[in-house]
Amino acid sequence: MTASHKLEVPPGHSLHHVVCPHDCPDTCSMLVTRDDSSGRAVAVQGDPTHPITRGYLCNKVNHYLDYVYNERRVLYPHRRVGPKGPGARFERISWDEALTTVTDNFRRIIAEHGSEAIQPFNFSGTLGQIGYWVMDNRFWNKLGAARLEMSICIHAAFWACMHTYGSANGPDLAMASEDAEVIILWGVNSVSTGVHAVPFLRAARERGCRIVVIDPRPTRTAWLADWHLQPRPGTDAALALGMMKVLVDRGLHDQDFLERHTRGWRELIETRLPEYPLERVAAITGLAVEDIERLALLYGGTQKSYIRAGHGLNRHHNSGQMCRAVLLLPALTGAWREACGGAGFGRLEENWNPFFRPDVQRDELGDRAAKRIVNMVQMGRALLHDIGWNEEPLDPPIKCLFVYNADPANCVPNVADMRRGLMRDDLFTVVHDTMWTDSCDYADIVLPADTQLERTDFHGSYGYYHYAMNRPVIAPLGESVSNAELFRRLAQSMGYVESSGDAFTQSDEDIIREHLLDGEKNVLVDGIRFEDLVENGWARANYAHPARQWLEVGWPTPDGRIQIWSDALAAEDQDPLPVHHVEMEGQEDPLRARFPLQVLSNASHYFVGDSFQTVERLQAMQSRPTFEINPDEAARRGIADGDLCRLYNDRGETFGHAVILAAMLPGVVGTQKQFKGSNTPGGINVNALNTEVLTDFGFAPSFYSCLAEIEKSDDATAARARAAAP
Amino acid sequence: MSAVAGVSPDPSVRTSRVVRCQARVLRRRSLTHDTVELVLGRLPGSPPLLGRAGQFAVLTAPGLDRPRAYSFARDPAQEAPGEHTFVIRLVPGGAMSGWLAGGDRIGEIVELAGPLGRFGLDDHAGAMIFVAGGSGMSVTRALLQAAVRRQVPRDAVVLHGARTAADLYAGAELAQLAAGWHPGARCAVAEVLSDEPDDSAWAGPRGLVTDYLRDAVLTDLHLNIANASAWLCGPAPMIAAADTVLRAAGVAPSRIHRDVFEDASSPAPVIDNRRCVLCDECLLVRPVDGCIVESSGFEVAVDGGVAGPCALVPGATSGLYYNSLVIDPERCIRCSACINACPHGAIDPGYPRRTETLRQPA
Repeated sequence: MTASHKLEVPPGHSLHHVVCPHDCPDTCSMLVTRDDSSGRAVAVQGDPTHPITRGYLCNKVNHYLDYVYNERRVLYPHRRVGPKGPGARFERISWDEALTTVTDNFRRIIAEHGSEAIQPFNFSGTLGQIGYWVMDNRFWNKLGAARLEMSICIHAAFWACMHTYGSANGPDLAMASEDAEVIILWGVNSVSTGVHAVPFLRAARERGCRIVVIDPRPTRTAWLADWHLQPRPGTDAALALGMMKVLVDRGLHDQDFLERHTRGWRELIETRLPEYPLERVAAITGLAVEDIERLALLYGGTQKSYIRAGHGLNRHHNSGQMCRAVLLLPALTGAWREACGGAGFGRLEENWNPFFRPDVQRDELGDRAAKRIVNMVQMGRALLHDIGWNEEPLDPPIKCLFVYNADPANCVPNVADMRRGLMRDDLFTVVHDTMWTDSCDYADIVLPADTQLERTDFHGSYGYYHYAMNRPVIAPLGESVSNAELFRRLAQSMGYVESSGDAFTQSDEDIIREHLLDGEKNVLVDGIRFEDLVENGWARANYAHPARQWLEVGWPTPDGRIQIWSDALAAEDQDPLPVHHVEMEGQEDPLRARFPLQVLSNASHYFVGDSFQTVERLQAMQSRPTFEINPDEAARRGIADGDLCRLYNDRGETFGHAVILAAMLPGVVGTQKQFKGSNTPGGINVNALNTEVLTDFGFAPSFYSCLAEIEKSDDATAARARAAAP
Repeated sequence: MSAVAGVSPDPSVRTSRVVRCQARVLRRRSLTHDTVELVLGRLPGSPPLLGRAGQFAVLTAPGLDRPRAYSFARDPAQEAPGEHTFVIRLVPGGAMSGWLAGGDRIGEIVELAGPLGRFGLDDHAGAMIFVAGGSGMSVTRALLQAAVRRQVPRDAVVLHGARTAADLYAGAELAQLAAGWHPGARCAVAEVLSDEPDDSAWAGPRGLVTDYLRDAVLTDLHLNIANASAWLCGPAPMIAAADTVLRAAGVAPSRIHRDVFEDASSPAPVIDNRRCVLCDECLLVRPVDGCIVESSGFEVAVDGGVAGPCALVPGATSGLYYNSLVIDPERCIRCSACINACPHGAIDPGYPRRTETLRQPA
C-alpha cells in the first residue's frame, strides 16, 4: 500500500492515507489501518510526516472509527411513513424506488412551478471539493435549480478580505510561527477548533514570540498566551482602529508601505482615525486605556507580527467592518513586508475561489446564473413566509428542499421558523446524510451518505498551505453513496447523462486529475502531480509561485493596491473606510435593558458543527448544552452552577445548564452552537433565539448579535412539547 | 518549489498506538525450574497489536487486581500472526506466579495491552554490547532476533549472567542467532555463572557478569568502546553495576540503554492542565482502566494542593469548562505511554499537581 512506508502494520493489514473532511482549518492527513481479511478499518492516527498534523489528531477525529461504524448511520434509502416532525417514522426502500420518487417529484414540480422551485440546501458536511460543490452543481446547473447563497459560515470575513486584499492570502500560522515576534489570536479558540496550531504557538513562545489572545471568553487557548484581553463582544473594530490611531500618533506606521501599496491611507489617517481616541475606544470595548495602548505598542513595535483572526469576529451584525479593520492592521505597520507577517482568517480566499470555475462546475449545462438565489441563512423565512433575496416574495414558493452536507433543522438562525417551514405539507424534502440528523425528521426521503473512509475526494486546507487526496479504504457501508455518486445517479434517473458531455461520466479521479490539479487555473496546485498524491496522500501548496508574490506583482484588487478605501463597498452603500458600527443586539443596544445578556454560541470542544454528536464518547463529554455566565450575573438571578436554565428572548427559548465562570465577562452568556436540538432539554437549540438579519456585508448570519435573559428553570418538558408542536 | 516535501518521519512522534485486547493462552513451556514461556493468541476480531523488540506489554490474568508488565520475548515481527510470547519468572508469592501455579491455564483468556516503552535497538553503527541477567534474557533474545532479521552490520557481544547452569535456557538459541549474524560482522556470546558449584562440569566463565564485562570484554582491543552502544536488561543491581562499568570504560551514557521497569516507587506522571488541550491522544494509549480519568475539577486539600479529582457525572457533563484529564497515581503503571503520546508536552512526572481549571482559577 502506498502509505506503508510511513508506519508498520501487522501482517494481513494495510495502511491508507485518508484526509479529515470535517470543517476545520487543519485538514489533517490520517493513516488508517485496514484488516484486509475483514475489510474493516481498525485503527486511525495522524500522519507523522505531515507538517501540520504531525502524527496526532484532535479529540473528535481520534474517535473517527466510532463515527464510521456508528449505530446512528443511515445505511439504506428510507421513506417517511406518518407525519413530519420530531419522532417521524421511516421504512426502508430500494435505491430505485428512492430515485424514482425524487425525480418524479422533480419533474412534477418543474412542470407545475418551474425548476426554480427546487432549492438545494448544503454546506460543509464534507470539505472535499467534489462532494462539496462539483458534481452537485453540475446537476443543479442542468436542472436549473434555484441557487443557494452559501454564506452561513465565514462570509463576512471572506468578503472583508476580498474587499481589502482581493483573493490573496499571506503566510499561515505555521509559517508565521517560525519568525514572528508577536502573534495575536483574535477571536479564535484554536485549542477547540484547530488544535494543530498549538505546537506552533508554543514553539514560537518558547523562542520569545509574544502570544496575545483577544477573546471575550476564557478558553484553553487563552492559557497559551502571554496576555489575554477580553474586549466586550462586537467592539473589535473600535479596538483595531484605536490601535491604528496610537500607531500613527507615535509614528509607528510604515508610511513608505502605505504610499507604495495601499489606497486610501490618507483618508484613514486624516478622517477616520481621529474618531477613535483612546478614551472612546476604552469606553466602547470595556478595556483599559493603558491596555489598548500597550497592545498597540506591542503590535506596532515590530513588523514581524501576525494576526490569526477567527470566527468570533465574523458572527456579529457589524462583522464585515470589524473583520476589515482587523485585517488592515498589517497594512498600517507594513508587516506584509516580512515573510512571517500579515493577518488572515487562515487562507480562505485562495483556498476556495480557484475552484469556482465553469470547467469544474459546468455552468454551460443550463442558465442557472439567471435563476433566483436564496440565502441559506434566511431559509426559515423563505420556507415559512416565501420571503426571498432582498425581501422579495418567492414566487413560486420553494416546493422541494434538497438537503445534503447540512442539518438545517439545527444550523440556521431563527431555527424555529426553519422547523415550522420544514413542516409544510406541500414541501417535498430530501435529506442525504451519513447520520440520522434532526433534519431527517422532516424528510420525505432520506438517502444514505458515506464517510470519508468510503470515497474519493480532493481537499485544500483553509488554514494552511497544503492539498490532499482521499481515496476509499473500505467498501461503502450498507447502500451509502458519496455526494458525487448521488448526483450521478440522479442525473441518470433524470436522463441528463447523454446530453451533458462528460459532466456525469467523469470519475472522481478524472475530476481531480483534469480540473482540480490544473496549475494554470490555480497556481497553488501548480507542480502537484496526481501521482504525488497517490504516493504521499498530501502535498505542499506552491506558496512561492511568482504569480502570488503580492509585494512584487501587486494585490489582486482593481488597482493592485490594498484597499483601505474600498470603492466596491461604497457602491454597496457601505462605509468605504473601516469603521466601528454599534452592533444590533450587542453591547451598546438599548434592548439590553430588557435582555441584558449577549449570547455567544461558539463551537463545542467536542463536536464539529452537527458532526460527531452521535459519537458516544464525545456525546458523553458534552452530554448537555451549557450556559456560561459570570458569578455576579448568576447570583443576581439565583442561579447555581449546574442548574437547569431557560435562556430566552422575544423570539424563542432554549434550555441548558449553568456553568459559572469567574473569568466570563458580565453581560455575556456563552453556549454551544448547533447543538443537536433533540439532545437539548427543550428540544431546540440556541438558534431559536437569534435572527436572520445579515451582516453589514458578506450576506452572513449574525449569530452573536443576540440579546437574551436567563432564568433558573424547574422543568423543560413543557418547552420540549412546545418545540415539537407544528 | 517542490510540491511534495521529502518524506522524513519525525522520529519523535509516536507511530503506533497502544492496543488493549483479549488473548487466549495457546501454549506453555517450562524453560527452567523457575521460568515459564507463555504464548498468547489474540482473539479473532481484536485490533492488531504491533510491538517492536524491546517493548513490553501488560498482562492481566483473571482474578488478579492489577496488570503485570512483560517484555516481548520474541521479535514481534517474527511471531506467527496474532501471537505474542512472554517469559515469566516464577517468584514465591508473586501474583502471576500464583495464577500460573493454579493450573496449566491453556485456553484461558487474559487481557493484553501494548506495545509500551521506547526500549529497543538504536540506529547507530558502532559495536553492540548486550548484558542480560535473570528475566532480562527474554527481551535480549528479542533484540537479537530483530538485529538478525534486519541484518545489522555491527559487531556484537552478548553476555548472559545467571546463578547456575540450571538457570540457563537460551544457550542453543543464542548460538543460532550468532551464527545467523550479518556475515560482515562478529557476534560473540558468553554465559557467565555466579553461583555454579565449583565441582560442576561448567567450562564457561564464572563470576559476576558485570565483572566479566569489565575484565574480559571491555579490555578487548578490537572493540571500539567510544562508538559502542549497550543494552542492559535484568535485575536493577546488575543494570546499575553494568552501567558503572561501561561508563568507566568510556561508553557514552546516551548510548547505554537500560531496560528499567518503573514501579509505584517512582513518581507518577502529572498532566499539566494548562498545557493539556484535551485531544484524547493519551486516553487512546491507556494500558489499563482508570489510569487516566476525566474529572470535572479538583477537590482542594487543606494545604491548597490537590485532594483528588471530582468524578464526572454521566449525563450531566458540560464540555470544555468542566473536563480535565487526571492521572491516578494508584492505577498508573508507570509505562510512560501517555508521556510519549502527548503531542503537547503536557505530561511529565516533574509537573506540579495543580487544582487550577478554567472553572477553578489559581
